[in-house]
Amino acid sequence: MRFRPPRPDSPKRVLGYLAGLVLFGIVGAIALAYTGLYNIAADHGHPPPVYWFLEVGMTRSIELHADNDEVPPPAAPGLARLGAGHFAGGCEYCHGKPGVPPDPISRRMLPMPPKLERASDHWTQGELAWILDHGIQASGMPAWPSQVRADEVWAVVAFLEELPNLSTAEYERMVAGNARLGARSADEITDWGEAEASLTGCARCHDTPDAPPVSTLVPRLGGQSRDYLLAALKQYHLGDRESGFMMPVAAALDAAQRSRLADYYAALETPPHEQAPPDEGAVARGEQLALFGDKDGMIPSCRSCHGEGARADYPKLDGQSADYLAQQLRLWQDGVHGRSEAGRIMATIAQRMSAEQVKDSAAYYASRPAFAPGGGTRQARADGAP
Amino acid sequence: MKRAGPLLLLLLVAACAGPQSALSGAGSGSGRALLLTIVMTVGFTAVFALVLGLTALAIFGPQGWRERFGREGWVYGLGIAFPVVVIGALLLWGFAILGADEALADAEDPVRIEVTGERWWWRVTYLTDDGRRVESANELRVPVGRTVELALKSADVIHSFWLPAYAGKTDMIPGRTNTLRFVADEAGRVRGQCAEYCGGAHAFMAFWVEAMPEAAFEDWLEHEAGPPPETSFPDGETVFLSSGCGGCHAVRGTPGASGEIGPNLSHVGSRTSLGAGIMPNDREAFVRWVADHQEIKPENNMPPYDILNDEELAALGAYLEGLQ
Amino acid sequence: MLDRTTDEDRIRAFGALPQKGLPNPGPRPEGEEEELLKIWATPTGWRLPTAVNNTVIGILYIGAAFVFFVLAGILALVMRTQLAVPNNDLLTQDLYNQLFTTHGTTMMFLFAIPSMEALGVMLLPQMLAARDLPFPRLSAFAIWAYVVGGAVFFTTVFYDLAPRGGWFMYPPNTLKEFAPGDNADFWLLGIGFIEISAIAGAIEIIVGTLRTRPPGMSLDKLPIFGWAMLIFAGMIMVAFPAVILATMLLEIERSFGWPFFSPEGGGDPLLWQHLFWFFGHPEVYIMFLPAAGLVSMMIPTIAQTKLVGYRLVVLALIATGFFSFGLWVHHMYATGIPGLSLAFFSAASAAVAIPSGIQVFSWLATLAKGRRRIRFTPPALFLLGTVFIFVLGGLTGVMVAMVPFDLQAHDTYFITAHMHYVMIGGMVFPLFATFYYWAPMVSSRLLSERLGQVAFWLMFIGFNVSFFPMHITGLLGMPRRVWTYPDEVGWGGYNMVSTIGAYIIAAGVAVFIWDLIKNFRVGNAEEDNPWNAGTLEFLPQDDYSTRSIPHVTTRDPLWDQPGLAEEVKAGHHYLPNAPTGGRETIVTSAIHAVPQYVIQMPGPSWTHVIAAVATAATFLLLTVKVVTLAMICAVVAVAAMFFWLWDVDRGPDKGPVEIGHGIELPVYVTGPVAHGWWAMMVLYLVGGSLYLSYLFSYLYMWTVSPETWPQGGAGLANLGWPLLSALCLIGSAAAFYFTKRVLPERGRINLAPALLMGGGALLACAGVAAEIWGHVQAGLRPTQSVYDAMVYLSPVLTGQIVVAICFMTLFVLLRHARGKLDNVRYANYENTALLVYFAVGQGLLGLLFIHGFPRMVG
Repeated sequence: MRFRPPRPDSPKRVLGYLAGLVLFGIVGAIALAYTGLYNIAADHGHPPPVYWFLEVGMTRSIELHADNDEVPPPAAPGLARLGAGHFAGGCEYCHGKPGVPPDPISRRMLPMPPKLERASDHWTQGELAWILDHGIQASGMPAWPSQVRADEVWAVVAFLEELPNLSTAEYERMVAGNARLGARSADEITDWGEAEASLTGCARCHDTPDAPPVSTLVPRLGGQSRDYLLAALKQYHLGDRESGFMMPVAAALDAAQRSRLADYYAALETPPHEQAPPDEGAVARGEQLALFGDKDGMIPSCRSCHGEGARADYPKLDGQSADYLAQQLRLWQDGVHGRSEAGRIMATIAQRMSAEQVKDSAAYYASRPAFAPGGGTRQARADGAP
Repeated sequence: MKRAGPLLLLLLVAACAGPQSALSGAGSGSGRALLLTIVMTVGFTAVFALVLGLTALAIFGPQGWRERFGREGWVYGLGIAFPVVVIGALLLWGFAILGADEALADAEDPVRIEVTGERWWWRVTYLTDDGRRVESANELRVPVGRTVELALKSADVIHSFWLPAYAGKTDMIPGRTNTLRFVADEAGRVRGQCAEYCGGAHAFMAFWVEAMPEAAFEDWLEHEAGPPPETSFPDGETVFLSSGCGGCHAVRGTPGASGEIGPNLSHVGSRTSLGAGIMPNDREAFVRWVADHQEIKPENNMPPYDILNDEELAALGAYLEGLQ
Repeated sequence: MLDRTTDEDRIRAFGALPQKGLPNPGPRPEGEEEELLKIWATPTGWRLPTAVNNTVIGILYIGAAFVFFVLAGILALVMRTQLAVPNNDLLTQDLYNQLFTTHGTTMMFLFAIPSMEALGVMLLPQMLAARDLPFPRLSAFAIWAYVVGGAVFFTTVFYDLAPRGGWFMYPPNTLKEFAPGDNADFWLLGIGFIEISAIAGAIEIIVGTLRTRPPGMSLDKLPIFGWAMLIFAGMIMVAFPAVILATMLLEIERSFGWPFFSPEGGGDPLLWQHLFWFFGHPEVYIMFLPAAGLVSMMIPTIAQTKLVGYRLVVLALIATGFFSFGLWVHHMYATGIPGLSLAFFSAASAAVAIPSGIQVFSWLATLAKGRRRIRFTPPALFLLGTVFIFVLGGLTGVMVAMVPFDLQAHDTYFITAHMHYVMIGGMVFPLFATFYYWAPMVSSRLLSERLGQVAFWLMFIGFNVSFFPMHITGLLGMPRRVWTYPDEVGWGGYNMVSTIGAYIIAAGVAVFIWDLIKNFRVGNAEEDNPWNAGTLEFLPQDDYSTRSIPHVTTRDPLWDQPGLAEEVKAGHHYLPNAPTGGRETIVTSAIHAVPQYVIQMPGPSWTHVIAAVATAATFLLLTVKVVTLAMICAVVAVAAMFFWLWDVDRGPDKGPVEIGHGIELPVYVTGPVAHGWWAMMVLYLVGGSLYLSYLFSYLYMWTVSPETWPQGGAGLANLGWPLLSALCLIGSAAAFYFTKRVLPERGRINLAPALLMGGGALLACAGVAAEIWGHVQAGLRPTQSVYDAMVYLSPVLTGQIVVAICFMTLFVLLRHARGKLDNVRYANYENTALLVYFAVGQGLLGLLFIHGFPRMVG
């Protein structure tokens, strides 16, 4: 057969050129890597074209992948304060805080972690949430500790929105949350001992004898059942229960420390959540569900596990915040929770609940007098009942 | 062997039929259907033999016979006239049987039971003459010789109630109530099963039926309607109530155990089987069920209770067995 | 008009077909056969998929169906292994449920129906000595869509995506609530492909059988298989729309929550069963009839004598088709249907035994009439196996038609046994006989006689060992579709025997496959007529089919017209050449087979292949909810279809041509003579029966949930909107009607047709929109109740035709803009207009019904 060269403008010829180019690019890239010609020293800095490539690549990638239409969860009261607590523990080391430069070590990273005061001008909320959730490759920016809790990053986004307006002192107050001492320092650890230092970490977000939790998304712990607290801490410690806030904190705690913490909170009297008064209709519907269940939906009454005489390792719900309860139920519905033994029970049931039933039951329990140490409720105690 | 076989086989098979056989004919309707079965089996075996014989004739027969058989007239005779007569006769008989089954609707004072198919168990509610509703599960008790009238319903998907020993099957269809009537001719214990594929654990949706003398039935129903005897295993009861079992299961007379989602457990210890006809009903079985029910009967709607330790399980098993 | 040629005109013009002498007696010119060969050459190498010739794509079709048979058979083996002993845990419950669903669905939808259609595509044109089917690319498109879609459906079983609702997919078990995930949607998808290819096949077969017969083969000389396929296609046209509607309803309820089947909104799960079995029962006969037709073709050859009772057999086929639509309720005896209906359906179910009996005794009589004793070749063995198995299955069929017996046997292994006896006896054994008998048509070598005998005995013995005990297992109480069973019920031994039998069948199939590997070679047979058969498919063949198209005067031309094969091969019969220089065949009149015109047919092309793959991809991507990519594929599919259709309408420039006996035929016609017009009429029937299924569903739901219908006129739409809608629809039809009057002369372009058609299409859209808007105004919401859902469904059904009309109008406008539409060459316009009239008719009927019925009963 006679060989006929393709005509100059034929698609075959164009395809041939393209294939050649691609092949050249691939060979070039492999050669660059194997020869080791490129200097990757951090003190060396990026040559301007590489810097441009990385910078534009990163920005475009984030803009493309972030979903700006994603609606953030409705702002819960104190959301930014919750984000502040995490920022102090997880972000401050590299990104610094208002008026204070970042740690000298982190300043020698390449790329250098940006100061975040202006982050919310530079990125949209959706982009910030995306960065927090997914992290950025080869930059030192980690992804969110729990890869199934994209809901949590919104607290940090809310905090970043407020960051530009904070003075150093305001920042310190905000990240300290309910802790009396601000962020812990080396002195504090030596003076207070490990347990109290841990408590400083807890009190940033959770309730203390003087204050309710910083956000309605944070559960109130004072007076909760000891067995439940212990189980929850263990699950966070092992990663069986997912939370980007709690997992880093609980990872550092050994069994004895967890036990002391559980003892501490089980015996602690703390004020109830500050939350908006719930919708009466929702409370009434929620009460129906909590007391009698929904036979057609195969949902047993909440009371059968969370009422009087329940097992010690089932949590108390009375007076817990509606935001927190509803969020937890949604996590069960989405299959995020449910790796623990008790979690598997609740997952089965939560998945049968409608969105409305989630809200109603949360509203009902939020409307109840808050639980207190050793059974009974704070209200009852205050009223002098046994 | 196959040609002469079916009748012989049928008799042989009927003789050693298991508890779920349609060949036992122990009820009114099933007896009539069995006679029809036997007659059709014998008759059609003969027809089949005839066809095979004619085939042999057409191929191997002497030339003269073959020529005679190779005419269109035979097609009219054997292909049209013969089936019309046979089928016509059978149809008439079939209609007669249908009529006889429907005549049960006129029975006075039937035992009324409501059976609801759920994924994958049976909710059984006896409607007593004095208007009470006595709920039980996965087991029926019926008096011998009296018409039983079942109201068949479904809570979710389509199931089919089939009790071969006494009657043919009737579907349980969401949004509808079907009625099935039968008379149990002799006392005994037989098995039934869901016959319409209903998803996941369809294979594990069986039940037992005990036909008993009328007086014994009345006594039993009276006992069933009441609460179980006071438990001698209070620890087990505590596990039962504190773990939330009562949210789905009811035990008559026990506050905190009034759930209507799962089977009523008031007298669960006295039933023939556990898990809708799939396990024996003893203490070990209860423990196994609670600990492993998702392995024993995958996809069933009970939440997994891995939270219970061995001690708690043992106590729970003893308590449940004691619900007599 | 010139092109409205009727039989009478033709006979008047040419006299009756001459009975004496050859159509083309003289020697044929040099190079003519080479030209034919070049025109009809099968593309080779990587272009092979572009082939459209019926023998080539027929092999692909039957090959794919056979692969699905083997795959689904392997699933059955796995299930039989699980069931061999009580309490077995080889498989998990969920996997078993997916397996039996996939087994049933694959066997029914990906093997049984397609294999019969494949034989229609492959054998029918050869039996009619047509060069090809009238719409070669349409069948190739349908086949590719089936191959791609079927393969994807089947593979879902490997990654836990297979449906688990049973092949019958009863709701509510298959609604979102009980079947979350995409598994059930994959079932609906698989069915979608088979719906497409079945309807396309039906069009092809009906138009092919009625219009591409050789001159002289009047309907009473049609080979039995032709009759069977005609009835088969007719049944598809009536039955498939019911399941198309059912699958639409199910997918709409799953995706959008319109409560057709949920009692909460007034729906009824039994609606599905009525629609499904109205399709599903005839479907059994849809599989059986072609197979029975094949048996009636093979038996005479084996006996070397003509079929006894040809007319009776044809009547029996027609009767079976007719009866089969009266039996659907026999799948529903246990649903609580009133006794009187039960009696009717019981009688109808039993009566269908009569036409089957006629055929069986006709076969036996034919065997007896044969002069010599038959030889036990593989086809003969498989045919005798058919008689044995099918008769047994038919007898148990009469048993289950008896209500009291069925109430025990229904949904037990007795039915599993009965159904496999009927299907395997009625369809699979004839199919294997077919493989052995017709292999020389596509293979250069016969299959091995010895291996064939081994395969037969293994399959026959294995089959009976496997399935006979199931009758007993069923009567002992074993329900179908259980993945395991306890010891105490005593089913263990019978199940073990069944499992052993299943492996023996598998061994038989393996021997057959070995035979294929050893002996099946695509190519022209060494011997044209190895069995000494009497029908035209055993004429000498090449890529162009027969060298010339024979003049037929009897039912068994090769027996009764001595020398025919040589005459045909020498080119002495009709159309021995390629007068238009392209692919063509003769179109004859429907009853008397008088030549009417020469059809120009398209050749190999990538367009329909791309269209098929893109169509399959679109639906697949929609199933997994990748919407953007799905839309891109949809655009590709439509574009490919435009390219495909662009060169199908070739115009009248090359005619008229002479085909022999001095008969001159046009090469381009429009109107009721054209094959395209006939295809549109078939579509009318399909669309009509789809809409009738809808009306049935509407009325059925009204009887079930009358409380959701408007009471006393409350909630009815203001009559203004339906009136506006009716005006728009009538306007649309009028616009298309008058377009014909303003079509330009050849070679001219004018604006009026474009304006009229564009406006007409827009008016049709407006009509549907006005109807929907009226319901919105009246406060109806389709998710609210089954009444609302049914009301909205009517404009949805009309709307989907209107969408098709819009695309077709776009296509016609493009042709018009390129000067390819004029007052002679207007087939495209005509087909679009026909569809418009149908849509308008359906829309108007719908308006009358939707707005009239509630007022009448309310």
